[in-house]
Amino acid sequence: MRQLSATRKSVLPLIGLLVILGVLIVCPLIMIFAEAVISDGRLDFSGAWAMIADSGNLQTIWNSLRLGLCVVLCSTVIAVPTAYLLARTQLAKRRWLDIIFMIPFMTPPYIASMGWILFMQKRGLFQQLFPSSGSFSEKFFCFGGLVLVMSLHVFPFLMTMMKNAISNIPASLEESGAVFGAGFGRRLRKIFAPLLTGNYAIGALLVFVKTLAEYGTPYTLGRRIGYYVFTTDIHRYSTTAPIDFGRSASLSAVLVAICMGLWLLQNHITDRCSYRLVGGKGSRPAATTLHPAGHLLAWVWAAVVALAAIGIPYFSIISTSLIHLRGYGLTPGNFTFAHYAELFTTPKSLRAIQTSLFLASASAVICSALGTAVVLAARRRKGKLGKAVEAVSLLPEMLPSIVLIIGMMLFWNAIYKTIPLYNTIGIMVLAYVALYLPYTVQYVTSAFAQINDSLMQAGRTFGGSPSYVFCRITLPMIFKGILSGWMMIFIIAFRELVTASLIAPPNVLVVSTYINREFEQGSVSLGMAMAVLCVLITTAALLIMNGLSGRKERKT
Amino acid sequence: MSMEIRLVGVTKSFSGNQVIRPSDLTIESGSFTTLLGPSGCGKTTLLRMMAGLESPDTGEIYFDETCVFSAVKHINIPPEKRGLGFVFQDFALWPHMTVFENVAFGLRARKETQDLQKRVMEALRAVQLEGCAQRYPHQLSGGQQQRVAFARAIVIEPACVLFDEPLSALDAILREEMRHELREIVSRLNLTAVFVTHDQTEAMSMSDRIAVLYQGRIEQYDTPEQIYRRPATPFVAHFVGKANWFSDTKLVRPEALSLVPAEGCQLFELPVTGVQYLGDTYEIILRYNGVFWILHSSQKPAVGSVISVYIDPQNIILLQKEKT
Repeated sequence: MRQLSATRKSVLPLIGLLVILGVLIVCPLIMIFAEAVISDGRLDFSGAWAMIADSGNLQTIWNSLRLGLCVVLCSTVIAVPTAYLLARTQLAKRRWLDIIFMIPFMTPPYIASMGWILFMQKRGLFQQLFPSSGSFSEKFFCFGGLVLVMSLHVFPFLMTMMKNAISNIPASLEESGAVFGAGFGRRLRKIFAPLLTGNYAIGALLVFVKTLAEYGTPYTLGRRIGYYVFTTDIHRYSTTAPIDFGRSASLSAVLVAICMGLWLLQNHITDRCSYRLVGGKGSRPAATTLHPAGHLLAWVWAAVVALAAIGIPYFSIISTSLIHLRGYGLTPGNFTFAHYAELFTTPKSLRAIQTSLFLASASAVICSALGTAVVLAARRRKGKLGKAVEAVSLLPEMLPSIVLIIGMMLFWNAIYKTIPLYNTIGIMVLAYVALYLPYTVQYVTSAFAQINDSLMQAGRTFGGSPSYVFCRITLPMIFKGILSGWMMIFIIAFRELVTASLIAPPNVLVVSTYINREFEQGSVSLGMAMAVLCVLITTAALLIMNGLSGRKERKT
Repeated sequence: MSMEIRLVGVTKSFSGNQVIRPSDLTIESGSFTTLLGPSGCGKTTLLRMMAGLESPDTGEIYFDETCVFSAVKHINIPPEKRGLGFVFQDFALWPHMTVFENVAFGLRARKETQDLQKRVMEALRAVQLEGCAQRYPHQLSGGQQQRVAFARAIVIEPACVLFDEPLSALDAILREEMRHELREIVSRLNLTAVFVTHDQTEAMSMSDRIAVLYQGRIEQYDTPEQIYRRPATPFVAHFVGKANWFSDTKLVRPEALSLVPAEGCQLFELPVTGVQYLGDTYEIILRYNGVFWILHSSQKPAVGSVISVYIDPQNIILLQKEKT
């Protein structure tokens, strides 16, 4: 009897969570597919298919796939050599390089591409710096430029994966190759490359998915060159008259199908082609000492990559934010802090900052609570139900955010008469929570992975009640994970663009939409000042998080 | 099919820290030589220098009459050209290749593909793994992985096989089994073997000669018997076997202590501070001048009692004072 009631007790929270997650994540997704296949109240697959097969849509799909492929290739060219240099050569000792190369990934893509536009456009910064170059820089506004900017944003992701994979290959695997008679080329072909194939395939697939799901750069730069992809078309059909939710839903459904397929493929590769590289006893990381000339070349390469990925966009943003009159350009005496002052004195910009701060902290708090509850409940009762709750909570990670947001728009619009949340700031909080829940779940799960179950069992053995053990042992130990998740969500939510531009109530601006609006039709300098401020605030949050977790580590 | 390895005046520093002091060492052709010492003594570095995986700062290395390294003459033959077998501490089996391909690697790399199939299977038979050729390393047990690593080293018929603590990743029972097996195959194939270990039992039981290393210096290079009976330095006496110390330079091995009086023996009356039963014998802990002595006996004295111990002065070992 007692056992039965105990089981029931552990099922209830799971069911509760499943209902919450169902409303938050599953219903919106169902709405998309329903919208795509139901027309005039009837199931209409042929209509849905006709809509997908429409030549305009096919062009969009082809554009997206082509872009994804080219970004994978381009970021490979940037990431793989950099990863090798940072993993194996003298550059590996410079730990600060790791941080430098994470900056592009942490920079909101729309801000970086605005930087590139300001740099390369007609009468832009490049032409001001090198007047003799004529209109050369305007050649940048083409498909290749779009690929370059997106690759420069996403390459750190691939680079980090490859760098870790390279560092995980024990030196002895290559040394044994050498001892048994294989020269450098043969070792590279027969040992080094095959060991990395699995990791590379996973990294490349994730870059591809990220590119398909990316909205910021295609929106700012892609639209300017007339290159439309999934995300920009979905956005266009749902916001610009004539609004056609059916079309955006069917495109969303195709995008979801592609992303899910790629995720499955990725899992398959992880299972099949990744090798357990036994670390353990006596394995050491390998190191290559470059000759002085090679060393110099390595630094030149790193400097060029850093210049393109960080130098140019940040130079453009910062200098533009300081320019008094853009017509005069980069001339002495034409610099001012007035735009920053304006940010802090006009109600419009202050409200945008406030709204962003509110949304970021509110969604981070809710995610932390909900995500921790999900992990705890799923751990307490590992069964199909627990797995299901966990899987649903991680679902948004696999979906392009624009798709989930379209789903939420459709869903909350449909039930507006019951719950009038649509068109309020509440729906924004809800959307952010749905999007960022996976962060908390992942951070807390990995925090749990680091603690041994016996620590909790010891707490119980020494007389602690379950709640006492939770408060005194479990919670303090996973708190760092929760905190990291909170900060991560705060940072990303603070600058979120696609959600805000789709779902914000009329006249509500957040930092990202403010920047966008000023960039497109207001004072570019004011927009860039806000962009700098946005980067500063998120960087400060990141530093605080590192500081806090660093201090905690020293104490234990 | 064996060769002599000669190291002349080699030194090596890592970031200002000299891990190999000027050392000379000659590995005799056809012998099983062990480099023994605590971790960080430089034994692995010495081995890796022979293989070409590490370059000495100074000195020369010869394989028979061929110079493979010379700092002065700027000779440094890369590892792939030295033709040695090497068994790594972590086995270093390539996880993406089958057992067969792992073993065949050296032959393919040398373009010795004639009779490849036959030679690989022969090597696998030598280590009793012919049935596992198509498996992957992670499908094998630790002992089997060890055997593959060994098969890979012998298939290329090297003149010398280097072993870098090959047994340390195995559990105690397997370690002892592999010890015999390994020694047997090395003798059968008449290989020169250089074996690195920190385990004195391993070193004593397998080797023809042992080089004891300490802080980058070769403290003694001799047969196992001589190293045990005539340790050259206090470190060697400490590190190899158990010792009952009279003073810093005077000691006696536990088996030289007797409870039975004999002609010409010195008598010591010593208090018993502890007794441990080891199954085949009792280990008796005695107290002598503030240090603990060990004595093995079939009798169990009471803790706290004082017993008579007899020592033949011929068995007392006198050492040179340690150079500082």
